[in-house]
Amino acid sequence: MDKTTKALYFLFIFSLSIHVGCTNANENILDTLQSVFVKNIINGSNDFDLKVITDKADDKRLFLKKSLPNIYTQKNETIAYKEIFIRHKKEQGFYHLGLISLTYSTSGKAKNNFTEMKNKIKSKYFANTKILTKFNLLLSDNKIIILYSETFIDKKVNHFITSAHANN
Amino acid sequence: MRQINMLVGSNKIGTALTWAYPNGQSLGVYTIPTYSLTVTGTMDSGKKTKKDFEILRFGIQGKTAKSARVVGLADAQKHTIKAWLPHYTVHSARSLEKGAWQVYGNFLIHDGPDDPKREVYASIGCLEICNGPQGFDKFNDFIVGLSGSTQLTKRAKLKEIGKSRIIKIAYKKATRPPLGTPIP
Repeated sequence: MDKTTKALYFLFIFSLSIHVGCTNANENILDTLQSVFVKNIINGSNDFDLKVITDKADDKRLFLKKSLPNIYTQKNETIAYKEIFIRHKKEQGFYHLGLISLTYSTSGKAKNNFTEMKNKIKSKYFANTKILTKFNLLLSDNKIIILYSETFIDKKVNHFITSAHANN
Repeated sequence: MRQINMLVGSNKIGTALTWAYPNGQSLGVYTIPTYSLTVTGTMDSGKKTKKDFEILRFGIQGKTAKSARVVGLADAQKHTIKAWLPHYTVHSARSLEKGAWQVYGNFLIHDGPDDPKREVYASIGCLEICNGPQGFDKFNDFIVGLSGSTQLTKRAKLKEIGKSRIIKIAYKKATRPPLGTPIP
């Protein structure tokens, strides 16, 4: 890990640590994760375009039932999501991060569901997708965050997805 | 409306990362050749034109997590595109480069990797369009431009093109590539 990556990694951990300890229910962990991911990839450059999709008509429950068939079970959670795309203005390809938050009524319920989901995971990739998509779970207060990427082959993206373990 | 012709090439023009679909995730990431898909037709102006697109023609099938094999249409063959399937999607974000052309049965033409070395797409016989960014959207825009459709929206034009069966596709005979060694 070079110095810049290391610094960004610690920024990521630090940001999440702040959030995990935060009592402000209005603070949005998806925004925090987006912000750190974008900083991590763009690294101060102006050569990138950012696109964030949050289509309210796209209920991600169906997607989760298909992609995590033996892991995700619909309960009384509320759901929010972001699909983040960072594209270099001059080069081919893009960086992708998907974030889905499942919010439960209490942190205890979130923790129980998180443990249940973690115990059922047998693969680090989504099922039933044509694009190999790596995922990870993160617990934060009364939320479970599912991080995933269709471009995890990129080292920075892969590191971002897998480093979420540090906060569980 | 005007006829559009597609020719699936038999020579390797590049490489792409892939995996053994649908259950071979744990086998690792393979490398597979890419081929050309040449689209020819006539513009509204009467000018004949053609464009080459990079595609995944062959892929790897892993029915279980234990074994994999190379699959895809290798024989020379001709078909007429049967339909435009507007709701087909391969992405987690449903709105991205949606839709597919039905060659026959489950053999489709749909979105592929914008960058074949950054995204790991699977194919078990579908043709997948690369040429990022938004390669599949550009492919469809080109088809719309050649079609002569007078519908008002792109959505309606694609539907009309699919229904009218004006797209003919020919596959050159090709040899299936070897399986290769996956990267764990």
